[in-house]
Amino acid sequence: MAEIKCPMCGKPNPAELDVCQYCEARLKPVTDELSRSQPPIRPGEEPKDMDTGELESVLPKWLRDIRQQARESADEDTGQPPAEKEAGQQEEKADLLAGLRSQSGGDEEIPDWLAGLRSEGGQVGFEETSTDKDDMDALRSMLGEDVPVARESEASALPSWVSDLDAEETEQADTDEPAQTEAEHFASGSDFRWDADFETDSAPQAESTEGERPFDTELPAWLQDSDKPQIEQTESGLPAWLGSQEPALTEGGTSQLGDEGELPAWLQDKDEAADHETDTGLPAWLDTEKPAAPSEGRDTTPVSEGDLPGWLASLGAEESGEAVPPQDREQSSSKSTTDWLASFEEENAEAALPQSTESAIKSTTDWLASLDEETTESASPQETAQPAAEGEMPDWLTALGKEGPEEISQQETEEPAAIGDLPDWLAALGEESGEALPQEETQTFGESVTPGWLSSLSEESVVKEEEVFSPSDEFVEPADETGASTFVDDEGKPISKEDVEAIFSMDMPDWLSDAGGVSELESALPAAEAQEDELRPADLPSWVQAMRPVESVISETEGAPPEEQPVEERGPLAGLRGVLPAVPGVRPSSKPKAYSIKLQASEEQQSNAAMLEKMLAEEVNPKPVTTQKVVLTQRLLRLAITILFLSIVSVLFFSGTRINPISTSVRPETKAVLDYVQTTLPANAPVLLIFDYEAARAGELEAAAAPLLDQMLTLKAPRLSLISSTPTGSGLAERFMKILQTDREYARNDNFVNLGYLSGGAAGVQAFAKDPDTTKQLTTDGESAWTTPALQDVSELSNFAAIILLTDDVETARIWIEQTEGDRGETRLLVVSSAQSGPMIMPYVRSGQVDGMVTGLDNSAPIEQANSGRPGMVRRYWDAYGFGLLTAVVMITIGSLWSLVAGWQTLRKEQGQG
Amino acid sequence: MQLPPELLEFITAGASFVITIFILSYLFGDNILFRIAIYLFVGAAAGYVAAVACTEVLYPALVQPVLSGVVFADLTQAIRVGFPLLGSLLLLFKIFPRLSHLGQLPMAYLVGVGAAVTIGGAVLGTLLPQVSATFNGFDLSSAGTSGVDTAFMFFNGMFILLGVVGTLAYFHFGATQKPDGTVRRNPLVNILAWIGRVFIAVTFGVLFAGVYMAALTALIERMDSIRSFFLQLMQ
Repeated sequence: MAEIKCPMCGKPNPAELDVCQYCEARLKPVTDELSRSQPPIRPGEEPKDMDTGELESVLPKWLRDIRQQARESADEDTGQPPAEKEAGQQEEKADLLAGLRSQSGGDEEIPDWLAGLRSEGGQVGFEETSTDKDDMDALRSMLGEDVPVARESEASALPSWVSDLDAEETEQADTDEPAQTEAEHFASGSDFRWDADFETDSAPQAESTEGERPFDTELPAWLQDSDKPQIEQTESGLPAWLGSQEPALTEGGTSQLGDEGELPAWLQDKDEAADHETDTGLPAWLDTEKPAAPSEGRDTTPVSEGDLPGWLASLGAEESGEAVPPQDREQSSSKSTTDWLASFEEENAEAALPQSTESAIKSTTDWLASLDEETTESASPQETAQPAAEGEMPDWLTALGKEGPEEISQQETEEPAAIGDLPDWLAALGEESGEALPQEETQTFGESVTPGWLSSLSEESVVKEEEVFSPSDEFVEPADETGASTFVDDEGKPISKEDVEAIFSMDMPDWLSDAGGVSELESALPAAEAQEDELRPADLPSWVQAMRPVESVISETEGAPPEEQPVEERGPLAGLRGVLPAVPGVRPSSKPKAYSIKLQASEEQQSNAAMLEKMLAEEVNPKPVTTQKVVLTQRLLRLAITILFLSIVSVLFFSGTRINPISTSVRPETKAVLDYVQTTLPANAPVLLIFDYEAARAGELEAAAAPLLDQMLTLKAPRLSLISSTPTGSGLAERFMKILQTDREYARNDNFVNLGYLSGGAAGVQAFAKDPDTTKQLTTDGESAWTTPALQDVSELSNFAAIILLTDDVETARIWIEQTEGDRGETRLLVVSSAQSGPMIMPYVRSGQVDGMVTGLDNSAPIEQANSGRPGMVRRYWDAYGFGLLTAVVMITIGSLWSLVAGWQTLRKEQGQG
Repeated sequence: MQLPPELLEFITAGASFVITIFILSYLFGDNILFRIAIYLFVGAAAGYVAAVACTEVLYPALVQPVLSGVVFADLTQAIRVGFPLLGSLLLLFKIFPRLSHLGQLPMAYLVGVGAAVTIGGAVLGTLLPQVSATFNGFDLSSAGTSGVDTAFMFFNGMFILLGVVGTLAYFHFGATQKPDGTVRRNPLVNILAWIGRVFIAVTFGVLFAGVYMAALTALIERMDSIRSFFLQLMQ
């Protein structure tokens, strides 16, 4: 068996189910089948001719069951053999639902309203095709027969209005008011026309006894007589009265009623109506409406009289004066009239309707006319699309099958029953909703007069409607062309509007209430149609709408109108209204500061900006490529200067000239040293010599220190202790001692001791200053230094008579000066420095931290001269040194003057060009 | 075999002469002779320094005390040099990136001790005495004892003071924003900075002269060395 997978829970369910048996979710969409077959009906669209045969498959199961039971009961009553029964059923089907058989199948489209019923009704399948069931049975079921248990159970699953309808129908069954039954059926808010129930799956037929007329208690009188077991059915299975319309429906929906069949008396009495024949042969009440405009797919050819059903044709014949005996009517419309209609004829033929004939005729003519118009004109494209599919179903039935509740309610008014057995109140609804529709087309069966059963039915239905439903606020009293109310009382008098409203005081079903409001809706339909005709703006998605520019809508300022606002008295806005008031205290107390709009830039900034601008401008200009000439000039100049210097110095040195005299003036710091060495220094005193200079400066320092040390050694013969804070100092010390020992013998360890390299930098110097014997214990020979005669009685830094520092670096001098500041005591600190560091060490001399300083050859020359020219290096260097300095001075002077002149000439050129 | 002193001295003089010529060849630009001389000087200096460090520092100050302490079981000596030895070994771990963190402790000790010595010496040995000396320039009472004219002494003091303040003002870069939006220093600071710029320029000139004089002296000494070599060679 085919299974449908539930979209919610995913569990398999039988295909026949509409709702999941696990989670009760819908397995099939409501409008699935219907939407596939044809597009939904839009508001404003004219209903199309529908083939009621298409509704066979979409009929609910309960309705189909009812129909089947009705057929069976009808067959049993008639005693027809099954074969004949089937034939009869076939005929019935042919009569009423001619198209159903052709549409028998399981793939029929289900209208929304039926699908809704099915969903509310529970598991009501539409698989069952329309069985051969008597139309009467179906109608009986619709009109509120005793609902069997099965039906009740299904009714419980049905929507409330349907269940209410059934309940009401059961209640009214005892009252034997067939009109009420019919009214109930409609009032129950059925989404389909009452006659559509013939084609749908009927609910389980109420248990009815054989021979019991299903419409005895609930049906109106005109319908009660139709409760005959044998309901003549057409070959298509439709009732006779519906089957008479089969030819018409199958031919494109045209209301081609069958041959003139038997008409009930009420229809036959129409000949007595005041309606006069028109040119078209239609009764006046039908002919008053304009013929419908030709619509799409709709056959607008006037229906000939022969095409009308018998009962309607008889109406026309009667109106035209033809007397059609009932028998003839039956014969003529044996296939077009139902038994119940025939019974109606018998009963209503005797009904005294002359009094109310006119009014009834008028009222009935109105709705019949509206029926005619709606069925012929208001055929929607949907109906035209399925004229053949639905067979010979009347338009209103086909429309019911394809439309939803609203649409059906709308179309219901648009397409009132093509058959003249609609109650007046229903017809009135159709007229109300069909106000917007041009009533041009006249019903074909307008040729015949309104049957009496219709008028009686309208009377009774009006009465029953009070208990069935109440009109909604939108309900508008239907009115015919003459303005008279469609509703008539028992006496045939038209019911006033107030009475009509009172009648419909009960709660109307949605579809009826919508029907009353459909008029309003339909009034808007032309506008909607007009709008639809125009280019409809597309619905923009939210993200597109978000991108739309926000139109700034400046709302009008709230407040008093300009006329009421005060007038400004002062200021530039004097005399104007609506000006912002000047709040005291908010005004600036002083004039606002004026800011210059000019660019505030200083001259320097402007010059920089101009420079930058010039630089940027120069970026565009190509730069000249530098040539080699410039580089060669510079190299030649440098070479020339070098050769000049070397020549002068070398010539003067190698010549051994003594041209340059030595100055006898001694600088104070040098004099202090000289004085200390000559006078203050004790003899054989320990003197600490510190050799902290580089090897490259050895010649200068040796030349600067040699005269002082030579004189000191000559005069005082001190015990020298050599030490150095640089790794190369110990070697330099040894070299220097060789220079000093040219004329004397200074024995190692006896006269001098070389303590070697003092590591640690400033920390090592401080450590030596704190504890010299611990810091430097050994000599460069590996012997204990502090036990030697040279360091006898020396254990601290302050034990030295003098500390002579030989250095070419300011940092070294600073370290020794700073670290020995507190440990020297009375020991003199003398510095022999290079010419390049002398100026930097002079502050220490000025501050008294250094007792004396000899700087380069300049300061050592007087010492050597005072030392009798010993050792003589200074004198040897002096001429070359002097002329070398002179050459440098001359060169610098010449160069400065040259630069000055060149700059002045360049400035003149620039000024000349500027 | 021990060379005679005269021969050794002759070789030494000849080598110095050659290297001197090599250095003087830089007058014609960078050349291979100059490079050779430079490389020889760097190598010789590095080797001599390493030798001195080993012979005059490591062995006598580190190795020998440890050995004597171990050999002679002098625990005090061993402990006294033990910590320096441990610190020296930990510093060696700085060579290896993964173990460099082990040498952070002795490095921190060295940095801290050096900073303390430097800062203390700068403050006590230079800053305070120099400030005192600047004030002492206005000690007019000592002018008479030294035989210096009081006015000259005062002017000298003022001159020195002006130079000191001007030099310090030159290195003052603090400025404020004026109402017109420009950023400028105090006008007085600007004047002093200009004076200080003069003193600084004069100082740089003196330093340049001293460098030239030292270099000239060195040149003359080298010429004397060359002359001596040739005289000795001729003898």
